[in-house]
Amino acid sequence: MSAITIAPPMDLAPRVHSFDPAAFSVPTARDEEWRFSPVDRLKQFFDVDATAGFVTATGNGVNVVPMSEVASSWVPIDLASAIARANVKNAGVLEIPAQAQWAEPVIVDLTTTESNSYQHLEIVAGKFSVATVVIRQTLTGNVSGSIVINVGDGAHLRVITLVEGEFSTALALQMPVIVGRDATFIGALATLGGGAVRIQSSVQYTAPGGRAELFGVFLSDTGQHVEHRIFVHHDQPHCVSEVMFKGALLNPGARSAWIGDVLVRKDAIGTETHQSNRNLLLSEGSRADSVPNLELETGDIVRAGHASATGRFDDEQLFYLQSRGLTLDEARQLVVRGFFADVLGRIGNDTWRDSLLVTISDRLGISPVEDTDE
Amino acid sequence: MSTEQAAAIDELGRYDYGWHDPDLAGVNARRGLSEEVVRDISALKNEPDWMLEMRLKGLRLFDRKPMPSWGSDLNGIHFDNIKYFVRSTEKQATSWEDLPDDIKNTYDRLGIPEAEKQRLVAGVAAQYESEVVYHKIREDLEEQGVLFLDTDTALREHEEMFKEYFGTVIPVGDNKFAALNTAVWSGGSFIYVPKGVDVEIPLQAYFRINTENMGQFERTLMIIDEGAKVHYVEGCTAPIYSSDSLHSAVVEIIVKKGASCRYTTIQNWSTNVYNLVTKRAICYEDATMEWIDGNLGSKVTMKYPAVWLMGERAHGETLSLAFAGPGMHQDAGSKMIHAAPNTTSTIVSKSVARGGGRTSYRGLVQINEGAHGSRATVKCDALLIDDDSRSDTYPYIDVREDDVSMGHEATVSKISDSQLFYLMSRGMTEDEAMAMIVRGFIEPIARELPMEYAIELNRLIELQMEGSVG
Amino acid sequence: MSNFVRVGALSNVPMGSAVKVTVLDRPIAVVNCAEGVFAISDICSHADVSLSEGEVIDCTIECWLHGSQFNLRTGQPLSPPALGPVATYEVRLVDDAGTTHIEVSASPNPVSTDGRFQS
Repeated sequence: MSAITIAPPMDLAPRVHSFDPAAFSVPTARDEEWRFSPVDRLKQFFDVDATAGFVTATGNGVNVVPMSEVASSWVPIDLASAIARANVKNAGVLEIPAQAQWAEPVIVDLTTTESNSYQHLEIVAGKFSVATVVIRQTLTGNVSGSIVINVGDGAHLRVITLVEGEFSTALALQMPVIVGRDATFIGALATLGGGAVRIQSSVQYTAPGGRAELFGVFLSDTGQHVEHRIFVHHDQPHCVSEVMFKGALLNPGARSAWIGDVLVRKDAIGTETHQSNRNLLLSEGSRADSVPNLELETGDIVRAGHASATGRFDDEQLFYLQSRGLTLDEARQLVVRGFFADVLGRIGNDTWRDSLLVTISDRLGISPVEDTDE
Repeated sequence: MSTEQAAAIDELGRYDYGWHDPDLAGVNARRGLSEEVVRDISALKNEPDWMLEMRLKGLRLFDRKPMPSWGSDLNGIHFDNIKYFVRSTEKQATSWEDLPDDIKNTYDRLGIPEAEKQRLVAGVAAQYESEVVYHKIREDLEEQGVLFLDTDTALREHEEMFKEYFGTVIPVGDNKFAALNTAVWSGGSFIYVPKGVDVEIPLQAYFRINTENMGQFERTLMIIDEGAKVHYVEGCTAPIYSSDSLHSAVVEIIVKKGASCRYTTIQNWSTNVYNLVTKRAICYEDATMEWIDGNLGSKVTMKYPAVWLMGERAHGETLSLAFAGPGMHQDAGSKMIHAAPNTTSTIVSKSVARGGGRTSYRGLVQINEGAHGSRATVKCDALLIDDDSRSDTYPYIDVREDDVSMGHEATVSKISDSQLFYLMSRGMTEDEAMAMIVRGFIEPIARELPMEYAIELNRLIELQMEGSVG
Repeated sequence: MSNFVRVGALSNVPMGSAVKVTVLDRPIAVVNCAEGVFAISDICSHADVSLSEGEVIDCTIECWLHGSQFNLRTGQPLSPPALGPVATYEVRLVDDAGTTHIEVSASPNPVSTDGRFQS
């Protein structure tokens, strides 16, 4: 498939889609798409000839299928994903049969033994199915690739993705989601590990009535660069999107970037969209970039908006809690826990909500103990 | 044109600027940009060498820099076809008949008096009328030591001060259009307010006598010394027809310790104009800068008034208003750079798009390391009148210091049917109801405008709303 | 004592110009100006732009994209939009077999705050 180029200026939609790595130029920090990215730490993924291993996908119901036999509807949008796609031999495929009602979450583990690996995971939720999938992306080496999610008409799919791993590793991940007619997708992304992490999610609707909720929590520590890019493309009428990402920067040298692009086309009447990003700076010497972009080609929508807030603790909140008898430390912990608890609560799965809260609390060095009566 | 007007224009030609006229016809007929054109401009104005060098540098950088890959579609600018320097005396005053119908109608409907009409049409001419009226004001200013001149004269009469500040806020190489402006600038305002002086009346562009107002490549330089205060107003709500398709102005403002400056602009260019402006102020300790920016017309406006908060407790504020009607793209916003502790900034942007017009908010808030205790808020609201219009928001938020607070919020709304219904049930027509809703929407900004602008703006909205329904 | 890396002949860097070299994977701009030969990081502290592509003015080099000038001695910007310094490296000129060579230190100088934004 040859490259499709859209003439500028069109600020938000990806300009080139191609399976051919030659259609893309090598990213530099002067490109808008890469201006916040640690291009240096990802450069091994821009080399067409690099040798790399492969990530193995294991889990109940996950089949390993040769890439050539996978009918993937998604076309790569940058050099790294095009190279990964061209090189991947086998893909992990998880199919949820139509009408299936899976009560228990399916856990998919993405692991590798190599220092550089490509990956491709395809999740297909059949029509009217209901399921929860938990993906554990454990970085023991550098990984480049995609997780493609197809939500069939009328289906309800929840995907919880956990990214953990060494601070020496790099991850360049594409996570496109395709939402069918009247389908619902709830995506929770917890980026807690990895050194240079760049995750690009997108939502595409194929018919009216789709609903996508994307929640993210992330932590960034010294030497970490955590970047989330989200692109929601409303080109179908009456679809809903909600995006909420919250992160904390823990120590000097921590770095995060969050870019949320929402594009509402002329035909997408009745769209409802909101996105927000909140960044909590827990130390000096860190840097958070936040760019919520919104393009509307029509005014016939239900609502559209976005919000972004970055800063330290709200002194007033702390003061209030202290005046209620808490020590400063206890007050801080309560505020941080509250900060993450609300977005984690939106995932809709208590077990994983609690588990994530414990993990995050541990990382932050605060007590995960739940509220007693106060 | 009246005989008085014709006489006035002749008069202007005889003002002594210290220009000499080598090959007049050649220069003025020439289109396109080249080193020769730039040298001619400098020679005609009898400028010192350092200014010529800066102009040439601007030309070099203009050639070298790429066009922006973001923003609006600038493919319609034909650089080779533009006349980069036209002396005001040679400027052919447009006659009333030459104006497009919609502009003529607007003037009529706005009830602009005949004399004003002529002034707007003729541009520079009819300055002699203002001279009498504003003579007294200028005397007062002189007494206070305030300098308020056109930029050409300021360079000649206050060269040292000019050289000290020119190009320090917006360097030659800042962006392609600032480079262009540096190469071919002509006209604009120069203001210096001495320490502690509070200039009570708003200074308006048309107080300046002579040289072109609303020139293509105006260059404004303002220095507000410690503790001083001034309010400068430029522009006009009534639509201005310009045969020049590219307007690329540069405004540099230095607000020293404890001083404050408010700069109000209302621009309503005709829809053949590309209006690309670089405006920036540097604020030192305890200084305040307020940009009130109204963009009502033009085919494309790209304008992002900026404040560099370089001293402690400096404060920057932008109130930006954008109206985009059919065929217009307002790409506007603001940039606030916090580079010192305890600085604050506020950006409020209100945009209204109708009839296929497009409004985009583009902004940057950057809180740098060391700027502790800083607070920044951005609120952008867009109102879409109908289904054809477009609205975009592209805010960049870059925070590198933890002890700060930064909040940004944007909402897009439509005119609510229930609001309309309620107002119409009170006896208003749909047009009147829509106008009222729009006025309410922009009220937080409109109330900061000088009275006569606010009144004209209200009337303009009524006009715009008419026929926007159905 | 720090390591010096030979980057080329002085004759390759005409007066008033800058040349980009790489020292231990780092891009460095070597500048020959009236006050001597200097070496600074080639990447502007404001954006990913090569400083060696800009103009040399007295003892500064100007980033061509947005116009910030950097003091070649201290690496500090003279004016915005750049707000932070670029690394500076010690330079020595060595005569060898009749040619003057430029050698750049492998480690950056400590940061000095002189010359940052005159008000």
